[in-house]
Amino acid sequence: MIRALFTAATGMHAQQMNVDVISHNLANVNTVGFKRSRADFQDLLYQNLRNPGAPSAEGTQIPVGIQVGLGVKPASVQKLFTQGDFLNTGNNLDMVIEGDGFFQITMPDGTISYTRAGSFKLDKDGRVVNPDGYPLEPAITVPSDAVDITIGIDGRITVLQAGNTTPVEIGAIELARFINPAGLLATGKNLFIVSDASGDAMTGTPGTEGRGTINQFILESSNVNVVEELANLIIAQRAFDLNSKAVTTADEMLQTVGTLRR
Amino acid sequence: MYKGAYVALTGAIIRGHEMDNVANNLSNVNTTGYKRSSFGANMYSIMQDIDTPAAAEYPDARAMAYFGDFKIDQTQGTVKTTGNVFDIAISGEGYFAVQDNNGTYYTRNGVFTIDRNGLLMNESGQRVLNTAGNQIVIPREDPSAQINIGKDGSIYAGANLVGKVKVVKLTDIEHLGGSLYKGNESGLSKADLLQGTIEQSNVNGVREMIGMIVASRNLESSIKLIKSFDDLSQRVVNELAKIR
Repeated sequence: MIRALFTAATGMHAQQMNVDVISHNLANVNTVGFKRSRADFQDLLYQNLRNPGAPSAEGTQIPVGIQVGLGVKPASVQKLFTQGDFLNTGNNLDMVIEGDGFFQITMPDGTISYTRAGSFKLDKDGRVVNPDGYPLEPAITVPSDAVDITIGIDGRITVLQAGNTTPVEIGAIELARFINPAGLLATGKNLFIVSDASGDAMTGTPGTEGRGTINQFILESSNVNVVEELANLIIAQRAFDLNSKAVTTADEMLQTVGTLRR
Repeated sequence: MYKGAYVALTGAIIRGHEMDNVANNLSNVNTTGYKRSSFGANMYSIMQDIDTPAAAEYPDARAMAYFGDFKIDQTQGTVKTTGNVFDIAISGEGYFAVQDNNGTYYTRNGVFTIDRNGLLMNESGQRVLNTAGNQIVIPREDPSAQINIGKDGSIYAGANLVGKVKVVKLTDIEHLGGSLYKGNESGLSKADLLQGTIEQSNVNGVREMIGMIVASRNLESSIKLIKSFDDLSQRVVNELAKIR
């Protein structure tokens, strides 16, 4: 029964973590380029009270053993990189990746982070930067006299300069793709960094080798589905409830045993 | 003094284990691919001339409760759609075979992923086996190829067949923890595999609540019995032996 107390406690702990993950998803329901996570669980160790093959009381052999499990453990919190809905914003530096791939962002320390959030801006020098001011990689600078910016589905950026009628190409966006994007490390601020599990970035032109295409004027909204998250929340709460009942019952049983000696 | 107290004790101990088992099922109510275990007590008659561990433990008892039926409930869990390419649920009988350096294990938890080399593996990093018993590599030469997994377990990258997931029937199944089972393979299963879905735990809250009530009430009556025997012996000592 002491076992049952701790077993149910692992269950409550797991459901608590489940609610944590769901809350994080719900909190980011309006975050551009956010990818939802899912907590997965596995059963914990088992204690063998009786091994299969042992002799039974009648002298026969026991076909199936007795195993009592000791609860549950979190196995993974996996990012799900399904496509989010498209939001048409009309802003000429808003981009969406239709398909697989990530924008590359140069961090202040020179390393590269990856993001799906395509809400880019211009800084005072005309560089294309993300909302935190970190420049896009490869760096693209829009001339100050540009009146119109066009981004092609292959990532090529052309601008129309004042007094000119022919657009000029000023650079091209490259996308990074990973063999196992779920292995990327989320660092907050919509950014991811490479881990050993994700594999190295395979960078290149959008629309080639499995990389998605870029669409201007559109943002990718969060892929959190509120209805699904709420359903998961209800399930998690009920599971928590049931486990707390197991704690109460185990406690009552211990109490009963405690009355044995007056 | 009274053999009955020992008999009641065996019942009380079993109920404790039964509660442990219910707690384990409940804590896994949200565990992908978990199969609940059920637990029952049997009455055993114990003859003193049979040398079993149970008889040795309570030599005075003539009958006792001892572990009876224990089984892993193989009923299908609810299948939930996730849309994740490498989530596979088994609809029907059978287990996936996964392998690490220590050996081969079996699981119903079809939350798979690929590593940087394209190797198909589960969350714990154990490699998923194909029907030939080898690991499955999803090739990355043509990364644009869509991954499709057929009902029979055939994995296609684009139009190319890259492997067929092994799903086996098992006998003598035992829980190992970590969503893994051990057992003896008894042929391939013809169950359908459903890509983009996971199989949820087959634990039913209602059933476990009943199990909880049964365990706690039965424990209570066993304890009452022990107390009655205690009362009896008290009266024997204090009243019967009283010299007036």
